[in-house]
Amino acid sequence: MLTKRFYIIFICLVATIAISAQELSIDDCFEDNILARKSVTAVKVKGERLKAYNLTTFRSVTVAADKRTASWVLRMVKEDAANATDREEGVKQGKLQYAFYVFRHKKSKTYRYIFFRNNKPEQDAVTDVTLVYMEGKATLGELKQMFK
Amino acid sequence: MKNNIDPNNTGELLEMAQRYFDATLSKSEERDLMLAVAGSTDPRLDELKAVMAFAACGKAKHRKRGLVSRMAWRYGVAASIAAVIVTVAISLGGNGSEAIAYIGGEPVTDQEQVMQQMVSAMQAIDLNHADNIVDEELKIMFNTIN
Repeated sequence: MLTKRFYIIFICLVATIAISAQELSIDDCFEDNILARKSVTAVKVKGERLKAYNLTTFRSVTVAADKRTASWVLRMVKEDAANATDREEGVKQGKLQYAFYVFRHKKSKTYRYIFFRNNKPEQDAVTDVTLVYMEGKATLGELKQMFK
Repeated sequence: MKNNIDPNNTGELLEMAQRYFDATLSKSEERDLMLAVAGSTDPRLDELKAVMAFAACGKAKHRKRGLVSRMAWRYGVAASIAAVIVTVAISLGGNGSEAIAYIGGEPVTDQEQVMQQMVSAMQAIDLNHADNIVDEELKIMFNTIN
């Protein structure tokens, strides 16, 4: 009986861990080795300060004049795009210029957003990009209002 | 283990046996009686031996199983609680407040500056007019989000 209960708890735990481990590829864009690059401007905000925006996490990475890093960021964004619940993408000459991806967590009614923008769309190579990741209960409509 | 009862003193053993069946022996007296009875060959004590052996076996078996189950359960619960705490801590990233910016690889902790950088990043994304950059080009929209 006790062993049975233990197995039930264990299974629940494994499920909890599996759910919480739904990581995104772009998480790597906010690692120290990227943030330490001269070409990168980044922001990481979490907690109280985001209450006004109805968000819990905000992260951004802006890459300037760095083809290697910018292309890598774009690749990470494309990797996550496949799993997005909703999306909006702008493509120019076959290249992704901007993208909004939404990852909706139905039960907790929270959203995870990935925003990507090529800051130099006139160039052939991708060298300047901005990536923003947000997490919280704010809808895209609300975010558009807040960051007008 | 020292025994306070002489195994050869059958009279005392029989008297204690009677008290054993009356359930009036203390724990230590019971233990002494058991040791003494084990060394006695008097057939009048055979019944007592059988009962004590049966009780001892049952007690040992019950204690062993109960102990193992309880220990497994306690360890299981402790491990589960620890795992839940670790999982929650990892998934929430500590859930504490954080506000830091990195400009040219250098960390900036000034809160005003950090929040300014945050707003700048959002302005760079230009949520409301992002499609301007692909105005006359191919614009693909799937499940447009609002």
